[in-house]
Amino acid sequence: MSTLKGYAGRVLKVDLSNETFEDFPWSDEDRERTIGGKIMAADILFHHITPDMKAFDEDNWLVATTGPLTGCGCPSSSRFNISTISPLTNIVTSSNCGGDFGLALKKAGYDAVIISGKAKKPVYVEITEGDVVFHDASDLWGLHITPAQDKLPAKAGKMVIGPAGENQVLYAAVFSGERAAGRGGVGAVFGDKNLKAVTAAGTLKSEVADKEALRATNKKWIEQIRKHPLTGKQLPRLGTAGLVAPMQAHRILATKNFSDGRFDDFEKVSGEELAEKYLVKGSGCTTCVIQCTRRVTVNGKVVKGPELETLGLLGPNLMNSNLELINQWNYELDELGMDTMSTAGTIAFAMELNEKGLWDNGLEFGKFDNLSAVFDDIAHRRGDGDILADGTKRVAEKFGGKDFAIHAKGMELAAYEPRGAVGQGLGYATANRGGCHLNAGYLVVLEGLGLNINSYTPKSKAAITIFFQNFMETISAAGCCLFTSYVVMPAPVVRKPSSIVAKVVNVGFIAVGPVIALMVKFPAIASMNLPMIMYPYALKHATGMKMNIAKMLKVGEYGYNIERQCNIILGQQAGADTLPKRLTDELQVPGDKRTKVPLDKMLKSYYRIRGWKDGMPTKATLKKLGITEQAEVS
Amino acid sequence: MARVTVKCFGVLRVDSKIDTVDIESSNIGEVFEKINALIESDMTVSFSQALTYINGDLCTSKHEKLHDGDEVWVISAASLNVKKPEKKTP
Ligand code: SF4
Repeated sequence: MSTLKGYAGRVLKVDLSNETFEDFPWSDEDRERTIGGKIMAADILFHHITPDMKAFDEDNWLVATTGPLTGCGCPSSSRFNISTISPLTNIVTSSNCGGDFGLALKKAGYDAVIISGKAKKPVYVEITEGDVVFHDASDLWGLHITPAQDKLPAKAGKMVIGPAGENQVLYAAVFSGERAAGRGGVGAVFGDKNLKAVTAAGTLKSEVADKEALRATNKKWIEQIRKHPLTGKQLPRLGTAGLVAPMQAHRILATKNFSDGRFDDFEKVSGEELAEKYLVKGSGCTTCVIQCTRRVTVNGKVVKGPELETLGLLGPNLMNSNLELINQWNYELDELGMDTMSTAGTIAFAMELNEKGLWDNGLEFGKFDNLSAVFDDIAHRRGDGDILADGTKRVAEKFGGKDFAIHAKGMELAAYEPRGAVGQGLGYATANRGGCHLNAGYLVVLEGLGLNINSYTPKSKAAITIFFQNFMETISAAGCCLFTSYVVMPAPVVRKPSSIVAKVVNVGFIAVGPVIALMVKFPAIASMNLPMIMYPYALKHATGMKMNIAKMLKVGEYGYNIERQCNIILGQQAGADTLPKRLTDELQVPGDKRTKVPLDKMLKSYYRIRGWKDGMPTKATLKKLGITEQAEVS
Repeated sequence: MARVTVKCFGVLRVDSKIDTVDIESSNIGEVFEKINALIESDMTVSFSQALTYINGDLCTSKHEKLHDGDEVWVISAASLNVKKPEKKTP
């Protein structure tokens, strides 16, 4: 039992092979070191995985974790995380979800659930206060996401897979309500384990350390989020799709399999068009005050609309300007239980292979009459769908085109074309789970989507990337949505992007790179709290831990390194932090030398600041972080 | 005077309902004046509150000259909400 507050205090371990369950030891020291969420999951996996372990091994664990702020009344804090060895990348993936499972798990009395083993036949696992029941799921197997959830207890929080997970599509997702833990194929691991669903329900409430102080913090925090132009206005009004126009302007709207950063018909797939023609209303994850989700009508039914990544990758990246089709495809992919981003990325690559005569697959940029059938074929691994179900990297291994196979470490990139935002490029290359925009540090927000720092210079990008990677790691571990971090950006600058003040701030950000690098190397410098950064206050009042920005950075650094160590144990080699040649060697704008990602240059500084050698934490770095038990490099 | 096409984005477009307009304007400063005249609600937008692009290139000064056929993108900041100043009664 935990003496720290905010936590449920127990971790559940379920064994599908033997249909047993037990408590998994997790101490307050472990909580202090990891906070929770993806860092906790990486720590658990670090002590479990072995070099020969693969995603579809019986021994591979699924680790679903919450954060201490989950269920504590903090804004946008209902997030939970699932980590496991990814079948797509063969390294650890962590996938975050805004559905109601995390809250429900805590109400059942657990901060996390570890799922081990493999069921002999389809099962669903029901977690309640003090009990776990293994149900036969034969009648659920084969069902799409919504009908499957409809058959589960209405009041329970759920994690469920669709046909894509059952058929081990390497980028199958897990759904909780309408929200997806989309990336890295966590759904395929469920499917391999014959696990259709997990539900949780209970009535327990997490105690917090200082109820009054937390209430006051939350009030202030909610106000701050509502007042900030990005979280209080842009995201609620336009959703993440509101970023399409700035992306077009900054040449970072991935177009035609990342061969360009601008799309002539961008207006037709913009957030504005979505708001004007298709939006029924805004909505969001439980406990969210931002509500960035769009609800649209598909086939007469009001459903979750596409968010930016889906919109960009199913739109401009396929040379598609039909927003109605994107709405429909988004719905179909969700129902099949597939990651929209990896699906779209793989299809874009297949289209280019076809265009170049490398694979005759019937897929063409600008031709979309057959795509719904292709999605279904992928989910059921039929025909060419079986090949596409393995993702871009494996398709390239089969048909060639490595230089324009748009992935990092096997995971398809998000919708930001990094030749227009080189810091985002560094983030994609170094992100532990692969081509993910968030795990990358999300520098594109500073490079044009919130602030407007020089998006082409490599200068200071390594330090800024590491700072945000570490910082966001801890935000996520706390259980918060990463969009809450937008509030940290000075509102007057966001409100007036062409003002003198904004220009000074944008230039200043690059200029203070060395200071940021120092802060990253010696987080103790940041042993303070700032009024616009509410996380440390909330964590302190919820858990009773001492917390400040320095500690957040330290925990984040630990998280980033322990996840990296997991990957190294699993066989990640030097040179893994890379991008396809299209992005590093070809100019996006002919004649404009700035428009490629100067990755080697940035990586050098990145490794130096992180204390890594060739992408691997050095012995000294591991020692500093207290990571000593497994793979080390000298 | 140049005849230019102005496309509005962001909260400006959603709140003002102006997406594309053809206007006569000799420089970017005038574009903002004309857009403000077209906005029916009590909202205004200024050069500093937006990122402005002429034919796809970032425009850094409101004195930038325009030419016939130019396309101007006004990507408003995430938030406008600036009310026109109350008219002072003498
Ligand atoms: S901001 Fe969007 S993604 Fe984040 S918690 Fe809110 S609704 Fe969910």
